[in-house]
Amino acid sequence: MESGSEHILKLVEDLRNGVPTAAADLLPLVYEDLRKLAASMLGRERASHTLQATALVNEACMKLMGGKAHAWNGQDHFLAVAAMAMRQVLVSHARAKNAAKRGGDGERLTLLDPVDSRTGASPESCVDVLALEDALAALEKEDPQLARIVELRYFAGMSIVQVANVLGMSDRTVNRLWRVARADLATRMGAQGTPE
Amino acid sequence: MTHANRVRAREIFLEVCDLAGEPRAQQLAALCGTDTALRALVEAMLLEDPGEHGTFVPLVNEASATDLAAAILEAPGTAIGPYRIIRQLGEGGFGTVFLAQQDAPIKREVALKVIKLGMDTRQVVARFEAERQALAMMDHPGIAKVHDAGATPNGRPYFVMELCSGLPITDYCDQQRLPLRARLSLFVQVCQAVQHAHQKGLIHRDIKPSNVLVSTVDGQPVAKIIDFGIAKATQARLTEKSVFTEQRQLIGTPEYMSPEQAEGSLDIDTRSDVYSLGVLLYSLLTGSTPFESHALRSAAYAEIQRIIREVEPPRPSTRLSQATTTIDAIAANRSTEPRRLAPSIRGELDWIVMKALEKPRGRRYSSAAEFASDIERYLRDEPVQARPSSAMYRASKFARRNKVVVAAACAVALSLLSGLAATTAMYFKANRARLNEQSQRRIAETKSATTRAINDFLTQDILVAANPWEGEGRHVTVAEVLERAGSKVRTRFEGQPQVEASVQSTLGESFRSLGLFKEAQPHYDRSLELQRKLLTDDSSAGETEADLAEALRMQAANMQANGQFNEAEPICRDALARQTRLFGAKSVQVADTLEVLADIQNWQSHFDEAAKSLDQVIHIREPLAASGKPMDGVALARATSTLGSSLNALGKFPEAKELKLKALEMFKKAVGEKSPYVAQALSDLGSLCFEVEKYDESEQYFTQSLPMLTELLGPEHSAVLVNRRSLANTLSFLGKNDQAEPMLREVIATSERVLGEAHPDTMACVNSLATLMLRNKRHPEAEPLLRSLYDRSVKAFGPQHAETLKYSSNFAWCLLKTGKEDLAEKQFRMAVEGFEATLGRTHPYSIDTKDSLAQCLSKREKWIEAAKYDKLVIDLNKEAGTPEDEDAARILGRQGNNLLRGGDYTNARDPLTRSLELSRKFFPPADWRTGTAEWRLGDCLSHLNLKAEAEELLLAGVKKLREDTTAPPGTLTPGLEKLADHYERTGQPEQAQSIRSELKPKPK
Repeated sequence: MESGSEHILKLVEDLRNGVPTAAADLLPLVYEDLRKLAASMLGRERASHTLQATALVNEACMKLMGGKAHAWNGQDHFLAVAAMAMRQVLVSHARAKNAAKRGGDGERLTLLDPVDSRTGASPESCVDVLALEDALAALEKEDPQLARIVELRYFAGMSIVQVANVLGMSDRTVNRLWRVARADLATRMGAQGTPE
Repeated sequence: MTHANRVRAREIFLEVCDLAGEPRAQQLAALCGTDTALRALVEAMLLEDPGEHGTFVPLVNEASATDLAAAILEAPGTAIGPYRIIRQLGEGGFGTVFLAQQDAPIKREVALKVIKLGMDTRQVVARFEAERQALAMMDHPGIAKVHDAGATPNGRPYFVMELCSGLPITDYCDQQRLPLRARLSLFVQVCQAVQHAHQKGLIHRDIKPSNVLVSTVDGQPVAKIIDFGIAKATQARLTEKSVFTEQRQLIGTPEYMSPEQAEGSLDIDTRSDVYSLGVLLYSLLTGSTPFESHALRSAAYAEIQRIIREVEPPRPSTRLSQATTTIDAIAANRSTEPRRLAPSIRGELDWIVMKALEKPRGRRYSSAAEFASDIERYLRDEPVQARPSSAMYRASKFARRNKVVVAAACAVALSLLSGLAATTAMYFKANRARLNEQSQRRIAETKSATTRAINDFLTQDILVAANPWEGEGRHVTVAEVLERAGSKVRTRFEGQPQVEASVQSTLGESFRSLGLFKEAQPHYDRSLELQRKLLTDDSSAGETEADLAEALRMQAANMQANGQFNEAEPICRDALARQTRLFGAKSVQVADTLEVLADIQNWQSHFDEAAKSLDQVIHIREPLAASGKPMDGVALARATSTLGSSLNALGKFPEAKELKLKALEMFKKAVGEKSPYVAQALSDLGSLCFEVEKYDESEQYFTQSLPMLTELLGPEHSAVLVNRRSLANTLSFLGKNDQAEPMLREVIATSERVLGEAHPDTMACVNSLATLMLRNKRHPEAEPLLRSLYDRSVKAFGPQHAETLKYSSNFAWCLLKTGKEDLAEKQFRMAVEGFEATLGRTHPYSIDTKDSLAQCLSKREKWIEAAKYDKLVIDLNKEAGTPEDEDAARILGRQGNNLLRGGDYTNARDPLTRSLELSRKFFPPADWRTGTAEWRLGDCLSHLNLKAEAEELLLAGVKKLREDTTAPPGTLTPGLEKLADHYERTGQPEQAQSIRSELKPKPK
């Protein structure tokens, strides 16, 4: 996997330097690796229940780039690509589940980790993935940059600093844009009658 | 919320989000101005803003790792061949569809369908490769292109298709609340797309709502069919069927699967798609499939097959009227009221859908295009092609399967029993007074013996015959049941001649009512044979003779229907004599038989005799009809109508039409607006108007009668065939040959199959086709048709029969036009003699053939004889009461010209003088035809040495021919020649020379 790993590092480097095709080239690799990881993780039975999804992404990243991730400072960029993959995965998963339940009482599906101690799993924190996706897709058409910030925050769990790093912006700008994006999405989702 | 508003709202949000209290309010007011909607939006956003340090839980952290892992695994490989998965679009029964990106050779987004594991990838791909060529040729906006197929690294087959947006057609229609008509228009689009593929040789095999995606383009719904070519590739071959059966991997969706697909037949054609389209239309109309999904899904495979193959689904309107709990929603989705929905579908839409859903594919629409046209006809409020099953056809449908064949057999049984009951009842009625104790006992014995024998016959012969296992699994029709039963009658009723006679004639009647005259014949023959024998054995029995007379009448009627009228006549007269003796000259029995006789006489071209018979019939029936019983009314109307036909044949058109209209009203009064009688009466009127060349009126009558007849009698009934032929003829005369010719060819084919080559109706139809060709100057094509027609007719009817003579005359005309003038002459002479003998001197046919013969003789330069026939035509027209008109001017001119050419100047003078008089009377002053009459008379006078008069006429004639621009080419030259001849004759060589130089062809 040495050459494969070298290739990935090169792509991450390209991504950092703003080569436009890098993300597209990296995505399938990330995706593939996520798949392998997920498979092995499910094989580990009970252990998986305590594993957070964020950890999965991190683990994938470590595995992909070997020990060199930190040295190359490429982790954030990798995560940025992973965000796209995660968005796809989570949304299609939600759709599939929703489709399976269609014809029932129209119950909305939320993804909720019951063991997440930080949020206490309060009902307010449940985000309707599909409603979010609809709103995000609409925002994406109007302002791709805002949408990208949301994607990185929601689907890769990035901090403001990490997003600023990936997008090459100041923390303050990212923070302000994040606030406006989030407020924008909230009003869109509210308009659709999403429980929040 | 508009896009621009959102953008502006975000800008304002950023301006004010770090402000608070009064400054924020002021700034907001300043930036939003009077735009209250904008301000409301910004305020809503601010409410959602947790501020600079708001907490946030990333979605990815909220997902359980198990869910996520499962989600990741459910997704396919990210790169498949040259395609990159973007996201999942949907998941279906046998695969998952992804949005994918293709980069090379072209950059585009595509739909990528990955087939589930469990199918043999190599075979699937190989089958796809087999169809790739055809797929590549498909180019229709209504069909999603299939670009590619291959195997994923995991070995699953995939297909790459044009990316289509849109909803499944049923969902779209409900979401948009499309009313019925809009749904139908959309469905027509789908049919047209399917037709395109069919024309390229591709069958879809899995048409269902999720494969028909609809989106709105420019405000209009646009349908696109996906998955073309995929079902074929993934479909199991017969050898794999058992495996599939076990795994319940039904290819296709059972609700939409045609009977032949369900059977696992290898022989799937485009009509299988027509069936699926029918199910689709059913769903669009009713909101459910013909067989309810839960019933199919819960059934075992064999049961599913049985349901699809055998169960008749309820008509759409019936399904709707049963949907009591869901009807409100179904109606709302169609923007209509619940109580209106079923009635708006009942009738034609029911028929259309049910025609597409026929179990035997031969009864479905033959193509998606035909299906679409019928819906378009419905949308234009024109009569549709689909018909509800006629009684007979329904019976044959019932007869198809074991269980239902019993019902059909029972129907036959019923008709047998009622036939016998009627016969028995008649003995009593007719002979009550004369019956002694002994014969009463005999009848009682006969009745019980009859009942017993018929029971056995039904259970052991008819029902066994109806058993599909004995029928090699084929569909058994009522005709087949009758046939099988018929072969057993003799042995079954051995020693019971009276019973056998009754059963035989009932079988004969059953065949005859199906229009199967040939098949009926032996049963009538046998019945008669038995009856005659009974009569000689027991000459005292009047009831036996009544029975025999009735059998004779039926026999004669059947022979007449079968075209054997010369054989039928003595039989019919025999019956008539017996009935007159038994029941009296004014009895109903006599009237019935006289009508058969009149039919025979009409067919023998003895129209005045037929008219006499019919006058008698009407005389007998009139007082009966006055009593108001429908069948008596029908009988009187029928006789009136037939009398109309006879008078029509005698050339009395106005009287004939009056009688036909009278008959139509009588039929309507007796049996209502819609019945075979009314249809036949309309069709008769059509024929009549046709003969007097009122083609528009004729087309109207025929188009009214045809659907009525087809619906009532089935498409192959002889009356329907005659009607179709008549309509085709009318269309042809209206110049609509593109409609007329295929219609005629179709009728000929059906007629030859059903009635035989030598049947009068078949021949009449061949004649129609031939004359269509003659009218369109396609003489060489028509010649062999007419020759064979003539030969057939001589054999079938004899050389002197009116039909034969008609064909002979047409054949002669064709020969004349193909340059075989000697043969033409011979043929015309036969027609002339024959018509005069059979129809009389003044019949239009007699006169017309003489006119044709004269033209033929003139062409052969037999001038004097030609002139003789011209003279005959003129005299006969006078005798027939035809007023002297421009036609007379033409024939007189021709006669004079023939005499001139023959050198008989003396006799030419009178007709030429009369022709000129008539021409001056009927044509405009300077008409070229008057010019021709002038120079001819001038030429004649010149020969008779009346120089001055002659020269004046010749000059006047030539002048008109020179100046009238409507004169056909070639009409001036003979006039100029005659003028030059005249100059020479009268010693004016210079004038002659100058005319001749004008006549010389100019050097090129």
